[in-house]
Amino acid sequence: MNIAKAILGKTLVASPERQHEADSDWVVVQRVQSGDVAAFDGLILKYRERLYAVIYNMIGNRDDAADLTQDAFIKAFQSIKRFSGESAFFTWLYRIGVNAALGHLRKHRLRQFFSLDKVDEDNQPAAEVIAALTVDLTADRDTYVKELQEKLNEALQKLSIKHRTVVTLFEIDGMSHQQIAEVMNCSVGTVRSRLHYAKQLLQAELQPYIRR
Amino acid sequence: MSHDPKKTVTIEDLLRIKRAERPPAEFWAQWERELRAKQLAAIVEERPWWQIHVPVYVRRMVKWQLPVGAAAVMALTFVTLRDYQDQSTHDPVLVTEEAISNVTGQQSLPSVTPSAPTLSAVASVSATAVLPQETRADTQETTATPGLEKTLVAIDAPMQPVEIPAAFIQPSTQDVIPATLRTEPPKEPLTRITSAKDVRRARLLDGAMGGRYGSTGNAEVARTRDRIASRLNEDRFYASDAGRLGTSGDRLSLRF
Repeated sequence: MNIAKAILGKTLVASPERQHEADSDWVVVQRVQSGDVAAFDGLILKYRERLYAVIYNMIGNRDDAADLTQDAFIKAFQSIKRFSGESAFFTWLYRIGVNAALGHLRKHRLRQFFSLDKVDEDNQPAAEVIAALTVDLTADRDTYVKELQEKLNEALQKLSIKHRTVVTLFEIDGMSHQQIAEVMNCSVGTVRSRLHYAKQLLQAELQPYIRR
Repeated sequence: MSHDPKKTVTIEDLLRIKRAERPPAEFWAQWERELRAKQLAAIVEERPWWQIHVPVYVRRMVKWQLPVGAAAVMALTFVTLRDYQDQSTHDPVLVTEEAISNVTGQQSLPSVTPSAPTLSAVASVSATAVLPQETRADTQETTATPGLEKTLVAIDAPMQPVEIPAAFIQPSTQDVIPATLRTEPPKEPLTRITSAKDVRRARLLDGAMGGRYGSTGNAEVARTRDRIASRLNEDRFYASDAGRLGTSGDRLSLRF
């Protein structure tokens, strides 16, 4: 356990929920480190959807996102003995996943294919937004949602990799500025600045869908 | 949050749609099967040597490879240029002056001293050759350095006193060395053999003068003949025909 944990008695994370999550993860990680390999499956089940969502929204391709998520978990498993608890496990895991996605984006900068998942209509906030946008719509609703998805993806892809990562982690995964700063290895101010700039660009790109 | 048709839609609301993009349930079953296969492959797969032997902190330096490489190139260039400038500033005149100052200065003494003990050793050895044992020991103490003493003893041990004329013992060691140690340079074996040219010349001269290889018995005639022979070029000798030479008594006549 590192010095910070020894002094404070806990991992440095932003919110109490995340703190509780980090503490429970640390217990599981210690079990894995002591040889209980099957305990790592719990961490996979817990974080696979969130990590997949982050990577998917960064690269915009579901198959590549699935591969990169698997690679991130394998890499985390291989390196878990070096994880000393300086940060929360999910921060460490996200850093692995985000770095894998950044490497993939840099490698395939000139060749990008997009394949999008369907919008979950059972998701209440998303359903409300779609309902607000399609209230006066006479055309096919599904076609409109699909078009909106593509426009959103286009707007995100127009952002730089760093700005896209910040938007994805903040708006889609719901991470705090502090956590994003830890994942991206930059300052909180940088995160805020990038987020502000990215939102401005997105607003300009998605102006037809914004209603005031 | 209730959305009526009049409600505003912000960029954050639009991004909630992205958050709702999720794969179907069967996707995760497939994903898990692939993950297991990859895990097995990762266990079986041999890790590269650099992951095993290269420390982690060195591998973390990989992301700094560009600045580190650039710094290394700049340092190498700086060192190379500095050395080049040092070499170019040392022109021959300066080198000579420096060498001269070194030779004349105090610091040049160590470089000169190696030859000095040799000379003094020889001088002392030559001096001890004629001196009695008691005085020889005194001479060694005064002339030889401590390091040289062993050498002198080694040289002196097998040496027996030799009778050398006093005229050979000079105060200057440089005069003693040629007198005592001068030897004739060894002659090449081939130079001792008389060349065919000389033999032929001698035969012709001898035939012309009526004797066999100078066995005339008259020493003066033989000396004269040798002098002429040494002055005559072989070509001239052949061209002028040896028959023009004639001897009568103690005279040699040449017809041109």
